[in-house]
Amino acid sequence: MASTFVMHFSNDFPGFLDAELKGIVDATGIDLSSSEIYSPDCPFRKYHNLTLDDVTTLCSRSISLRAVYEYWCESESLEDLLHQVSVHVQQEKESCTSYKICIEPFNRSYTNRTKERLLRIDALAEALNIDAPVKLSQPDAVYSMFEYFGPHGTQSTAEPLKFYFGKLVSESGRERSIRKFNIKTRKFIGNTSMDPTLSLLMANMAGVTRSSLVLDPFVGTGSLLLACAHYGAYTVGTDINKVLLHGRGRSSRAKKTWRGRDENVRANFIQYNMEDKYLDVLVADASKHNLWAMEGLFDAVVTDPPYGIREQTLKLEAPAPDSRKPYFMPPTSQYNLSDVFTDLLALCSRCLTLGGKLVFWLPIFRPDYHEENIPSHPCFKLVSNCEQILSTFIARRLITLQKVREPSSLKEDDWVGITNKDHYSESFRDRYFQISDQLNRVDLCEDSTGSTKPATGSTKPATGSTKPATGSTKPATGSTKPATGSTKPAAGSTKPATGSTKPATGSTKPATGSTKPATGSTKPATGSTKPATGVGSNLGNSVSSYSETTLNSSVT
Amino acid sequence: MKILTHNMLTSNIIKSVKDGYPLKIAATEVQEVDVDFNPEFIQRLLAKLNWSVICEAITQLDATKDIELPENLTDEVKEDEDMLRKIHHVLLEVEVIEGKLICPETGREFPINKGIPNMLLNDEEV
Ligand SMILES: C[S@@+](CC[C@H](N)C(=O)[O-])C[C@H]1O[C@@H](n2cnc3c(N)ncnc32)[C@H](O)[C@@H]1O
Repeated sequence: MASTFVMHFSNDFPGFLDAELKGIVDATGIDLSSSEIYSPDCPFRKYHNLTLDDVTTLCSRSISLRAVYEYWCESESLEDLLHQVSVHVQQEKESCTSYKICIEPFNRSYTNRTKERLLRIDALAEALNIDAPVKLSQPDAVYSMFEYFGPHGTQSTAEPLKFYFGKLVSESGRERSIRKFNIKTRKFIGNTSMDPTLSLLMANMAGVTRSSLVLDPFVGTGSLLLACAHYGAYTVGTDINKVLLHGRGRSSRAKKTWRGRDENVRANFIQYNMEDKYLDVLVADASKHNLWAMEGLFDAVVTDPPYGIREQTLKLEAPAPDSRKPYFMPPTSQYNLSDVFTDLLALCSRCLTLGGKLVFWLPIFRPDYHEENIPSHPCFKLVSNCEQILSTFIARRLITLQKVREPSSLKEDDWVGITNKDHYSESFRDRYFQISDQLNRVDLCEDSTGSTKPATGSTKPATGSTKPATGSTKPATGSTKPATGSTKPAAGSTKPATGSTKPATGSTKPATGSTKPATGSTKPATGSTKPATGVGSNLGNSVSSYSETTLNSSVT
Repeated sequence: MKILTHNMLTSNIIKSVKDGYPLKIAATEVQEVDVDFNPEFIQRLLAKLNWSVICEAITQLDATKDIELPENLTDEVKEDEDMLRKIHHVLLEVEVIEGKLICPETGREFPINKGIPNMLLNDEEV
């Protein structure tokens, strides 16, 4: 029997929500098309026509989802909502053996003793008029009121703009899943181990299922494959770093110097009781596509390619890295960043099944960013594109592409308009250090006035990504790019040598570009060159606490 | 390295090599593990893998050389649970821990240590 539910989503990575749901819809066939969304950033959404089975599945998979409620009513006024609640209770003859009332505000916080909150709970208790004791822990029924106080980052409205009310059906498994993969307790980690929340989101974007075969060509310590295995996928990885795959070399943990004998990708699978899902890891160069004997082997490719900043970016020409050297020792042959992505798409055009998805991170300079910077290939269509802001200038984008054609079906024409221009003609690393100097000046300027410092320290995109400006999850516009790409105005393509002096065209929505913070970069140079610690520790991945040392040592 | 993985690998990454497939297996240490049986996954694999290469691979390992697989992968085989279990065992439960993969054309050896094959080449080979 289908009915209507209110879903309560997490605020951690709001810009990733739609992309995650899209992946889950593809993987499970659940139909989420019949929804009512008050405002794109409102974490309370109403969905029609779902069964309890659908709800169970969503709760077991979605990392964005916090909990699902049976929908009772909604309103723009509290008084009206209370009235509807009392009517509903009578009509449905609601009863339970014990209960609790929760208030869930968005863009405003209550403490347990905020007066308004207590008043609301009292008013709701009266409206519910349930003949059962209140029980705060493990009650029989939980009733929740959701309040939307306007978009995140704006001043909260005096009263909520919107209320929803519902009865808890099920909490999602997100907390448990995220906790399970906590990096602090994981056996084998590295400097660029991926944050569990993001890894799990990626697995869902890839739409993996219980019988998927998944490849991570830059497997590292395997964080992404673990997340895929969590949803049932069978996994294979390659990495060029032999020392790492064999679990030798220096530990990434603060207090340990050397890795233990059994620190390797497989040990992580064993730790989480998923050894069945571990197929193999190989020491191999991801740019050698013919390693794979057949086309269409993998159902998904989920990866965090090397950026050449935290982790050496190597092509075969270079000797395998020696883990005792600091990570930043430039290898003899750098794998150019744009090569990495062009190559990754070429690899996936071959080794993904038709309809299979490629999910990967793309580092960007925000002032330089244009949607056409996203690597493209005639075999792929863009499914989603979400931004995680790491500092004023640096972000990474989580891109999902879907293979929609076989390379064998391509004709010469299909490549027309495929830009893949070398927007990182220097390696990302060079560009990064090139601007870091200027960034520091900005830092210093702003420090001295004691005002808004760029959000360097935080690994979570507390501010940036929650901005509604992340129209970034909007559907695949890029893919339908006409083949006339070449006639595009040259604005974006003729990138200047130093990205930072460019005007702020970077934001995802050209119309609102003016609200961008990029002005700082043109400020006159005031000061010294303090190392770019803050910015750097953000860039790689989210275990900055484990890796500060590498970064610093290499910068100085 | 599992026999499944062997089925997917070539040495066609070496400059002069044409197919580089299938690689020969020389094992000095093999381990057997228990993996839950998921018939759907095995069926999906069979749609992609090279059957005759599986049959040939098992003759190269002591642990599997006595296992008999049908020469042809018919629809009946794909639906027969006992057969799928056998294939499951061969593909997922037998692992080469120490040994090497050998390029059929050049004889180039790719070492397998602690279960991990090393497919890297030297400068002059690419
Ligand atoms: C950003 S890290 C990925 C980390 C991984 N997601 C994890 O959870 O540990 C990139 C990895 O790519 C590897 N790498 C660099 N160049 C490569 C290449 N040409 N082929 C394969 N792997 C490469 C590096 O050794 C590094 O482990």
